[in-house]
Amino acid sequence: MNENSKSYSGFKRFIGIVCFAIFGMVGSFQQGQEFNVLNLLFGMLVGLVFGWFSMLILAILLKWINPGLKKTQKKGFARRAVSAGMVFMVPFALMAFMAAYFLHWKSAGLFISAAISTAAVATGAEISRLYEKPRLWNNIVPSIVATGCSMAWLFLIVQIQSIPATIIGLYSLATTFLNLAP
Amino acid sequence: MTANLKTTHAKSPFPWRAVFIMMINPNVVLKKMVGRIPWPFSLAISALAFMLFFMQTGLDLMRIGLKGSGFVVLLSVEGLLFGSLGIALLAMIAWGITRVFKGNKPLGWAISAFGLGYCSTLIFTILGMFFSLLLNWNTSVAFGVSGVLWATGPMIASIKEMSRDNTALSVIVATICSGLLLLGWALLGNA
Repeated sequence: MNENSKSYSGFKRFIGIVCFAIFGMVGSFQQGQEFNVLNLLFGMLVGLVFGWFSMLILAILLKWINPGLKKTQKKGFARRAVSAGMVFMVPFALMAFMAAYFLHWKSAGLFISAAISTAAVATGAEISRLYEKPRLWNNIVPSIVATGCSMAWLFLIVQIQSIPATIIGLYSLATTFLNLAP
Repeated sequence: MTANLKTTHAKSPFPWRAVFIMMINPNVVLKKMVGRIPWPFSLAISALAFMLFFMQTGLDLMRIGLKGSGFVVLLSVEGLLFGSLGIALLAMIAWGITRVFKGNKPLGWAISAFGLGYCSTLIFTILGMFFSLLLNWNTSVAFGVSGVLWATGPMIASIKEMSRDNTALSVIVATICSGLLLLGWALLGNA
């Protein structure tokens, strides 16, 4: 498969999305509740949405700061660069999964910060390859986005762990009230 | 193998310059400088980084009264061995796999690139030691783990360079190496 082909780029994007789903699953990890289906599904969903949103923001910003490439490159160059960069999260996703489910480490959530930063740097490098002389902004902007995403993830990770329990609690409360109602 | 190792022993006037550039832009170092840096120098960086990281793990456990000072020394020695022999072994595995897929870098280059990848870990762990010893903070996770994770990026870049820019192969090899690194770290770091 050609590294620049559309299907290969789609495959890379799929791999990146799977990595985010794994990070979400790891984020939902709680001692003693490793295989709680609701937690896992909710974590994966949050990871997928977070990943899709992060990739979208990065692609929009890269397109915005590289107006010259719109004329010289095929449509979707920024999205292809982001997809290529996201593939580099695979080693981190594996380590995070192993750390949470085999080694039972509590700090497995740390892995995503390093993963996003590495993927962002790789994305910057992919865009730089399209120029004869690399532009500094293509390294700075992905790093800023990565920092923002890491901070957002640290906030989300707390929510991932508490929301499923809150939903169950609210559901129990609602059914109790309904049963008590005359 | 000996011939491969000798190729990287050419004199380099500023190996420390590479240390700092490796943290900012590893691709520049990998393309232009690694071949001129002696591999023992690079391994000394990873050895020192892991020694400080494992030492901080021991210090954290000692601070909460779970372990004594002898354990800290033992863990530091394990870190030193893991950062030198372990990282060299990891580089050999990556070199061997990429060689099968027509990789063209010598073994000394691979060891040197892997060792230099831990420059950022070294800086993280030096800062961690500062906070651990002077402010009594528990630093093994915040500085040690973060530092080791940050080294994965340069490792992927090294493997990509070794595999002649083959992204798929570099990601697969990096995933294998990361898994092995994590297992080794879990076995030794939690001794």
